[in-house]
Amino acid sequence: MRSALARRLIVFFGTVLAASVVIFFIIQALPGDVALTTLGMGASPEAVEALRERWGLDRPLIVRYFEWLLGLFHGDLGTSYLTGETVWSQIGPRLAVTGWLVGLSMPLSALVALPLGLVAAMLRRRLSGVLVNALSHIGLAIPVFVVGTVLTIIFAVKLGWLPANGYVPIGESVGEWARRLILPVTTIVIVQGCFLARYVRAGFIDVLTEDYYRTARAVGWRRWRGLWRHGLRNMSTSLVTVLGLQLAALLVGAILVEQVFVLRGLGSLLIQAVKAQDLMIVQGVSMLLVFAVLTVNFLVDLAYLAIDPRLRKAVPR
Amino acid sequence: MKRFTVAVGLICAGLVILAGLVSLVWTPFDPAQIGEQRYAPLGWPHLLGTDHLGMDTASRLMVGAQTTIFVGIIAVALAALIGVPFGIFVGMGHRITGEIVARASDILYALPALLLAILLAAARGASVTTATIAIGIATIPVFQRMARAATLTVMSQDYILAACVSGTPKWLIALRHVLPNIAPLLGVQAAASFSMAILAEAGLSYLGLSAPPTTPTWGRMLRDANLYAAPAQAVIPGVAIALAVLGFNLIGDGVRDYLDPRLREVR
Repeated sequence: MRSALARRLIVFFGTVLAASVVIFFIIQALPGDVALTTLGMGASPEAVEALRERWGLDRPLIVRYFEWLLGLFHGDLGTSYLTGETVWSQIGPRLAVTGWLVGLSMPLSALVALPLGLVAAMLRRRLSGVLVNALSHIGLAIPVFVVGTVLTIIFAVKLGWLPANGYVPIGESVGEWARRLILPVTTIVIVQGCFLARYVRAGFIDVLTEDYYRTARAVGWRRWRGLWRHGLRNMSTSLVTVLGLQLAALLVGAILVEQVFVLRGLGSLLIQAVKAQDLMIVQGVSMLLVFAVLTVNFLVDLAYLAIDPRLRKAVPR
Repeated sequence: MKRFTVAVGLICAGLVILAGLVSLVWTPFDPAQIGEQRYAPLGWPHLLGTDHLGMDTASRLMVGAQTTIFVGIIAVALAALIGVPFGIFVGMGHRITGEIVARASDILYALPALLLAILLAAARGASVTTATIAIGIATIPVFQRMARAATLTVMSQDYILAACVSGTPKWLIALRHVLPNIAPLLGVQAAASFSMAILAEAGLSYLGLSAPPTTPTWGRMLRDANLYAAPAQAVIPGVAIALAVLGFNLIGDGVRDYLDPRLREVR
């Protein structure tokens, strides 16, 4: 158990390190001069040089990378060249928005998808099962921002039941906070739920062909009990994988949802920074997102060890 | 039932490709022509109405199909050309390189197309090229893993053993025996990846990280639509994206089920 854990930890840190290299060099190594961009094309060479010196851009790339990396170890994501503010100070107020969005939609998606997938698996030979399958197929094809836009048109523009966009912190008004999150969260739950339901359905159908399920049926268990009691545990490793992948995808995918509903979260900060050419913010926020994605993957790996005792021996792949 | 879904897929995908091809030589109106009538309703002469600048939506939709198909083809080709050789190479048994490729693949997995595109757009400015490259790179690990897994299965066959014994060089085995045998699976993967690429491109152009504003793209049309004045202008490109993605998904699914008899049995 311990050596399996150690191996995964090493891989985790190695990947984080490699990702930081990729992010840093995409942003910093490409031609284009931040100082020149900031001052404008008409700036005098002396002024540009002075600014480069002040921001430390005149030093070699490698040195700058290790400085940034050292900062990362202290939890410092960098400081914006343009505004002089730290990346964290920009992230701070936005973390809650993305946090609530992801934190609410993920469990809700699973809650919707599990029963739906189970029903679809049990009724797979009937029309309703086929219907669930077709529905999830269509759900898979519709991008999240289209779902969000259509929901906005129906519930905000036509019916006027809910606000079309914006966000209110939970500290200000709980009711208003909830009202503003209903549409974004529903959007994600629809898209993720469709994907998960398909997956759950396929998993339960696999269980139907297993010996342990046949035995359970033979000793008189009802179908749903066999599926639920035996099937769920057996398919939970693959379910955890998919949930982890979905969560990781959602961390980045939330960018689109935030754009649809004009939520000022991490994603919109990133897009804003790209348009303003604020490279340090792009670099810092990207690193944070990648770190979050990798952490989720790492936790999924740990979850395997918890669920499936067979994996606890460290077997080199 | 399976035949029916594949047929639906072919129709959807065919419509999109047809629209893109026809738009190369003919569109109902000039897609960049600013008209007098803004937010024209669906009807005649503007079949799908006009947008906030009075431009003909049907024409723009057709031209938008070009970008969608272009990005899809180039991105998938890029991913396959890099991912497949690596996958076969690793699958044919190079332990240490295998581990390295697997780790590199993991790192790419952590950088989704969307984030990669954002990074590239920040560094080089947003364009169709950066969007395509980002989607292509992000798709490499998918092909690499697929090709590796398929190669491992092929390598355990007797005809590979025969080829080895008769002294065929490894690269020739890869080219003559492995590649043709894993090709059908790769084809399925290409169809699935194509639909993922369409989704990704739509998302990027929705965020303004793909083609410049002068080029009509489905994602941008949706973004620019005024939900209050003319909600149809948002729904139309949305439906187009969904049809394209659904089409290629259904084709991929159909072919996969056909290739995998085990799946046919269970369903």
